[in-house]
Amino acid sequence: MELYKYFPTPSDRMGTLWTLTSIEDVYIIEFGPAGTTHFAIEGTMGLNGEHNANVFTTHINETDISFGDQERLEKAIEEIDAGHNPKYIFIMASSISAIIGTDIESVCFEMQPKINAKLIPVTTGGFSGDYALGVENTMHLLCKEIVQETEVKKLRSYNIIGNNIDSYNFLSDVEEIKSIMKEAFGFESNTIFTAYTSVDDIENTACSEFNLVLRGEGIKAADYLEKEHNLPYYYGKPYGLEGTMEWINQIKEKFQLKLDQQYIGKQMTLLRKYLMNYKFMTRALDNKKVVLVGDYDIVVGLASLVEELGLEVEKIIVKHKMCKKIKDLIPPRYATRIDFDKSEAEIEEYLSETPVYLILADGSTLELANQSEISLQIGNPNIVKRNIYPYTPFVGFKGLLFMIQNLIELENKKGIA
Amino acid sequence: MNTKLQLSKISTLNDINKTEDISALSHAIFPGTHCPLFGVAMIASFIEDLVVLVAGTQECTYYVKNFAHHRQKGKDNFYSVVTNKHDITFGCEKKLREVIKEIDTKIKPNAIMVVTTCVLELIGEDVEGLGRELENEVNAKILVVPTEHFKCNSHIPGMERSLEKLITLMEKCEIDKKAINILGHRQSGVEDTELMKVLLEEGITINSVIPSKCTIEELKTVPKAGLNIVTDFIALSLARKMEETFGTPYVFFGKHLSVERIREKYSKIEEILGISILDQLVEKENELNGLIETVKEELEGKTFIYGNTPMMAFEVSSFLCDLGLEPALIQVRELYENDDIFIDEIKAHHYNPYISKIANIAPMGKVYDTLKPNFYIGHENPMNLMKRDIVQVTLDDSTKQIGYEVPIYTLNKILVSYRQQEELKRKMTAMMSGRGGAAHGAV
Repeated sequence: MELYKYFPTPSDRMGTLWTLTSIEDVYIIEFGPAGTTHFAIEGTMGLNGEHNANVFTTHINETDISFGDQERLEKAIEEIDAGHNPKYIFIMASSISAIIGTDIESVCFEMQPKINAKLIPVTTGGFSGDYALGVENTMHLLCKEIVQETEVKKLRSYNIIGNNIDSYNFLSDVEEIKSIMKEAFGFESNTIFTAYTSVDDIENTACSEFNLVLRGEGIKAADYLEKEHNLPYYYGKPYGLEGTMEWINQIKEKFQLKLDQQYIGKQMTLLRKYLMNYKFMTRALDNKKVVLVGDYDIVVGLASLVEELGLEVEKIIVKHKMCKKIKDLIPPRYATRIDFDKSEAEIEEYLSETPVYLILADGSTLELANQSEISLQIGNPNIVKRNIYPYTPFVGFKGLLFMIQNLIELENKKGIA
Repeated sequence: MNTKLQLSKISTLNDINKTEDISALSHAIFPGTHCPLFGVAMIASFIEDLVVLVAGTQECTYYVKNFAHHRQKGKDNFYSVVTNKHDITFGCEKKLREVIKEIDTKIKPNAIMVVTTCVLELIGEDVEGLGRELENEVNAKILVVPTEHFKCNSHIPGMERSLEKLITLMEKCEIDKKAINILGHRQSGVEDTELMKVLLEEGITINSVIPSKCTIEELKTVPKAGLNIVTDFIALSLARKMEETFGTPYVFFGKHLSVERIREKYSKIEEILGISILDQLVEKENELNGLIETVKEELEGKTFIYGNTPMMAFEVSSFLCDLGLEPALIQVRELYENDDIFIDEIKAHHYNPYISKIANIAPMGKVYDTLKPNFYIGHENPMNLMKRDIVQVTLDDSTKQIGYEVPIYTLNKILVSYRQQEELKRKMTAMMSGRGGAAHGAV
C-alpha cells in the first residue's frame, strides 16, 4: 500500500480494458460489481479515447460471493451470444471475482460447447502488475486468439502494434506514422493494435508484409506473429529529425524498401531551418535541463528530440515497470539518468529540489510541486487536455515541428503573468 | 434477442410491491449503476478541508480521484492508498495506520474520511475499529465509510453514509430559531434558489449548507439552526439523526413537482419558523399553473419512457401523468419511502407501465422500437433517440433549484425540447422536398 495525492499507477486490468475497448465489435462481459465497469467506461473517456467495444457487467451480490454462484455470468454469456451473435466474447474477472477465486477459465471451458462465439478468458483481477503489463498481455492475447492464418497477402501493407488509447498522443502520432510510411515508401497501414480497429481487422493481421512496433509492450505480440505467421517486425518510434531518419533508414534496410528521397529532402530542408531558429532563440539560456516523466517509449524518444534541440536531459522517469528485455534496449547514454516506477512522493521530492528549464510529463505529475520554468503535457493521466484534432503529433517530421512550435510559445510566454 | 421476450421478463407497475420485484431488462448490463464510492465522492469532495482517504484497488482509487478532481476543478482533497496482493493476503491494518498518521502529521487536517472499497470489505478488514483506535493517537477526527458495491445496487448508500458520518463532527449549541440548515444540496449558489430568496427576505439566515458549503470547523455549529430543510432524500438519515441527537426538527422539501406538495412544504416551513412566505410566491404559482395548462394542451396523450433525473422516478412519472402524458416504461433504482404514494397516483390514472432497473441502456434500442415512446426523460445516446424521433429531455439543472422553480424549469425544458424537435423535423422535411434553405447556407 502506498499513499497517492493524485493518481496511482493504473493496474494491469485497467491496461487490458483500455486495450480492448477501442476495438469495434469486441464484446466484453465483466463478472464483478457494476460500479467497476461504469467507472472504467467513464475512465476511457478521460484518456481522450473512444469507447468502441460492447462492455457489459453482470453485477455481483453477497449471495454470489458467499456461495460462489456464477449463474449471472453464465446467463449473461448466453444472452450476448444469442442476442448479438459476436465472433468473440472476452470474459473478464474483476478484483472481487479474482479474490473469491472464480475460475473464469473453467467457466469459459464449460460454456464453450453451448456458445457460438469463441470465449476468451481474461483472468487478471488487477493485482498482477501495472497497466503496461495489461497492454502487453492483451495485445499478445489478441494475436494468439484472433489473428487468422492467411494465404492472401496484401502487398505494400504493414501493421502497427502499440498505438493504444492509453498513449497520450495516440490519435495524432499514428497519423504521422501512416503519412511517413505512405510518403517515404508508398506503404499503407493494415491493422492497428488497437486504436482504432475492428475484430475483422485483427483477424486479417497476417496478410501484411511486416509489423511496426511502437512501444515495448508490443514486442511480445510481434514475437508471436513473427513465429506463428512469419511476420517480421521493427521496434522503434521516430522522434526528432535524427530519430525519424534513423527510424526510416532502419525500416528501409530491414524490409528492403525503396525510399522516396525527394520527400525526405523536402522535410529535412524545412526542419533544419526551424531547428536552427530554436537553437538560436535558446542559446543564451543558463539552465537548459529537461526532466521527462511518463511512458518509456515516449519519454526516451522525446529525450532524444530535446537533445537535438540543444537542451540537456537531466532525468527520465518512467512511470511503469518494464521487463528486462526492454530494459536491455535502453540507450546507454541514458542508463544513469533513467529511473523506473518511482512513487509520487519521490517524484515530487525530486522535482521540488531540482531547478530545471522544462518538464515534459503527464497531467498529474505537472500538478506536483516543481521548480521548472516551463512545462508541457506529454502523457496521461489527463486532467484538462482534450486531444480530438488528429494532426498534432510528437513523432516524425511533423512531430518535431509541432514540438518546436510548442516550446517557442512556452519560452515566449515565460514571465508573462 | 426478441424484445417482446425481454419485456415479458420484467414486471409492470401493478406487480411491484418491493424492490426485489424490479428486475433488469437483461443479465448483461450496460453501463451498470455507479457504486457507493462514487456517492461518497459526490458528497465529500464538497467539504473543503475534509481529507478523504480512499483505500482500495488502483481502479477504484484512480477513477474516483479523476471524478473528484474534475468535479471540484482541481481543489479536491482525495488521497489514495492502493491495496496490493500482499495486503489482501496478510491484511493492511498496519499500512493504513501508517498512512493515516502520515496524513495527520503532514497535512494536519481537522478530519479524515477513510473510505473502504469492495476489496477491503471482502477481506474483512476492521477499518471501523482501526478508526476508533486511532482517535486517541491522531489529532484529526476519523470518519470511516464503507462503500462495498456487492451489498447494494447503487451509489446512494455512499451518499447517505458520508452525510450521516458528519454528525460526529457536530457539537451541541445554543439554538438560533431564525437560522436554518440546508441538508443534501449538492450545488454551489444555494442563495440563488427560490426557497432561500424568500427565507432571506423574511430575515432567516443560512447556518450551514451540507455538503456544498461547509468546512469541518463550521460543521461543529450545524446544530445551532432551528430547522433543517432536507432538499434531497439522501440527507434524510442525517436529518433524523440530528433530530434524535440535537432535537433539530426537519422538513423534507425534495424536488417536488406538484403545486400542492410544494405549497404544503412551504406552509410547514412557515409554521415552524413563524414567518409568512407563500404570499411572496403567488406569481411563481401562477406561472407554474399557466405552464401546466400549456403542457396539457400541447402534449396530452404523448407517451414517455422515464430513464433518470435528479428527481424521484415515480414522483416525476406521476406528475407527467397528471399532465396527460402516458408512461410506457419507468426505469428505477429501487423503491424509496413515499414511492407508494406516487405509484398509487399513477395507478389512479389507470396506467400500468413496465418497470425495469435503471442504468441498463444496452437493450433499450429494441424497447424503443416496440414501445415507440414520444419522450425519453433522462440520459441516453442522443442519436439512439433522434433516429427514432423520440424527444430527449434531461433535467440535470434541477439540482440547483428548490421550490416552484423545479417544475417550472422541468416543464419549460420539456416544451423547449419538444418544440425544437418539431421545428427540426419541419426544416428537414422542407429541405428534403426542395423547399426552404437560405442562400449560401447562411441563416
